[in-house]
Amino acid sequence: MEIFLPIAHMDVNLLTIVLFGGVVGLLSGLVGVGGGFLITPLLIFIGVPPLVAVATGAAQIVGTSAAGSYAHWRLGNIDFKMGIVLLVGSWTGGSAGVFLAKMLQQGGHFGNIVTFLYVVLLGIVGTSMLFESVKTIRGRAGARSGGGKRRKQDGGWLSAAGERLPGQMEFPVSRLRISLLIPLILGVSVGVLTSLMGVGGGFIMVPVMIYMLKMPTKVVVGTSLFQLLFTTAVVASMQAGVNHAVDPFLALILILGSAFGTQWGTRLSVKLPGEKLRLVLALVVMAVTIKMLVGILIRPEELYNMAVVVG
Amino acid sequence: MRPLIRFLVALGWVLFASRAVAATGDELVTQLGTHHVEITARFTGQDVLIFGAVSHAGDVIIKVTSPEQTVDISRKAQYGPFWLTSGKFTVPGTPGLLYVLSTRPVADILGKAEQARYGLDLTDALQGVQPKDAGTDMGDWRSAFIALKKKGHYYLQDGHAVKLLGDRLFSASMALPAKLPLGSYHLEIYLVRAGKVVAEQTRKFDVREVHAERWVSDTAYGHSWLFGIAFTLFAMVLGLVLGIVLRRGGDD
Repeated sequence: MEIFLPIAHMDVNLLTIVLFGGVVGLLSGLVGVGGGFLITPLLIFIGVPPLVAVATGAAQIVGTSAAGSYAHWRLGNIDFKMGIVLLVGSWTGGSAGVFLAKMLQQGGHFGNIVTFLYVVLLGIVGTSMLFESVKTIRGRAGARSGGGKRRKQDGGWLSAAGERLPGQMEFPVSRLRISLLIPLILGVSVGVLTSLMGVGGGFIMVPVMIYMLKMPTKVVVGTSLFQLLFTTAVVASMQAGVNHAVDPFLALILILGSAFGTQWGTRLSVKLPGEKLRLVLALVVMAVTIKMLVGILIRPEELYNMAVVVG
Repeated sequence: MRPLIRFLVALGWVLFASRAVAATGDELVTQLGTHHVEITARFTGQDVLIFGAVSHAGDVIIKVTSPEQTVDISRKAQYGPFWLTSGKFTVPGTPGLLYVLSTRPVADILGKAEQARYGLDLTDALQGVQPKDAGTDMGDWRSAFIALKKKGHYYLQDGHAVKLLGDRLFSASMALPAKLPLGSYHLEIYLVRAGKVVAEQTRKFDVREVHAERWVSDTAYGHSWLFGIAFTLFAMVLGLVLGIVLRRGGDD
C-alpha cells in the first residue's frame, strides 16, 4: 500500500517502512543496541531526502527509547547528575548541529556530509563488531579473560585525565570524581551526531562510560538512555522548527514497527546464541556501509536531481 | 458504478454539445470530466477526462499547465574517486506540470512560429526562467530539467492522445501522476485548421490536498516549532504506552 509522506514529499510503500522499523527493532531487541544508525541509511536508500531521513530518525528514537528510559528510571538506574551534565553538552552540540545542517543543506552539501559520516562511522562500528564477534566465537574463554585484562590496564586514561582537568565534580551514583569538561565534551559530540546523522549515540556513549570512565555497568545503560531520549527530543523538535524536516507519518510508522520488532527481538534473544547474533548485526552494518560507499563510487545514472521547494 | 455514471453523463453531454455547436455556429465546445482532484495519503494519481465537439473537422491541441513551482536543482560531479553533489541552485517560476496533447503531432499541425506563439514546445517551457544565485557551473541543466520532468510524467508531449470520434467529437484522457503541484490547473484547447488556430477555449480544474495531509503539511510549515515540540511529545508518550502495553502482553 502506497502512502504519501507530506514532509518528505514522496510516496512510499507502507509495508516497507513497517518492515524497516520491525527489522531494526528486532536487531536492537536481540543485540541490545539502538537502531538509529541503520534507520537513516535505509531511508536514504529508498529515496527519502537525507535531511528528512536524519531528522525523522531522531524523532523515531524519541519514541523507541521512551519506554526503556522509564523502566530504568523506575529501577533507579539513572545517574541524574551525570545525565544533566551530559544533556547540557548534547543540547548545545545538538542545537549547533541543527543550524549546521541548515547551512549545509542550503549549500547543497548535506547529503555528501551524511554519506561520508556514515561510511566512516558504520565502517568503524561494523569492523570492530565483526572482529569482536569472530574472536568470541573462535575461542571464548581464552580471548575473554585476555581482553578483560587489557581493558583494565589501558581503559582508564580518560578518567585519569578527568582527575587532572579543572572543574572537578563528584558523581556519587557513578562513584566518580572527574572534571565537568569530560561529560560536557562527550555530550557535545554525541549531540552533533544526533543532528547530523539521526543517531542516539548510545554506541559511543556506552563504551566510553564503561571502558574509559569506568562507571558501574548498572547505571551506564539507564543514564545513556535518559541522555539520548532528551537529546533526540530536543534535536527532533529543532529539526522540525528550523529545518521543517521531521515527517510525522514516517516517524510514527517507524515507531510502531520497531516497538513490535523490539518485543520479538527481546523474546527471541533468550533462545538464540548472543555471539552469532552480534556477528549477524556486524554483517548487516558492513553491508550498509558497502552499499553507501558503492553509491558514491559508481557514476550515478542521473547526474541531476530536482527537489520541489515548498512554501 | 462511478466510472459508468461519469461515462453516461459525458456521453449525454457530448451529444448535447454536438447539437449546440451545430445550432449556434460556435467552433469549439469543451467539458471536463472533473473540476477537482483531491490528494490524500493514498493518492496514486488520477485520470482526468476532457471531451468536446467541434463545428467542422480539424485538429485539436490541448495544453495543460499547473501552477508554477520553485525547484532546487543539484548536480553530481566526480571528485577523485567519489561522485558527490557539486552544488545546488534554486529556480523559481517553472511550470510544475505541462502537457501538450493533440490529435496529430503538433509539428505536423502548426508551423514553428505558431507553436512558439502558443508555447506548445516543451523545450520552450523554461523560456525566461532564470535560476537564482547560480554561481556554480551547472552544465546543461535545462535539458536535464525537462528530461527529469518527462521521466516523472510531469511533462508530456503526445501527438496521439486526443482521439477524434467521427469528425465532430473528440476526447482525451490525462493520467496525472501521484505527486501533483497544488492549485489551479489551466487548460487551453485549440482547434486548428490549415495551419491556423481558428478557435480556442480555456478550462480549469483544482488540485488540492484534503483532510489530514493538508492539515499536517500546513501545520508543519506554518507553526513549525509548535508542530515539532507537540509531535516529539506525542512520539514520547506513544513509545511509552507501546512499551508498557507490549511488555504486559508478553508477561501473560
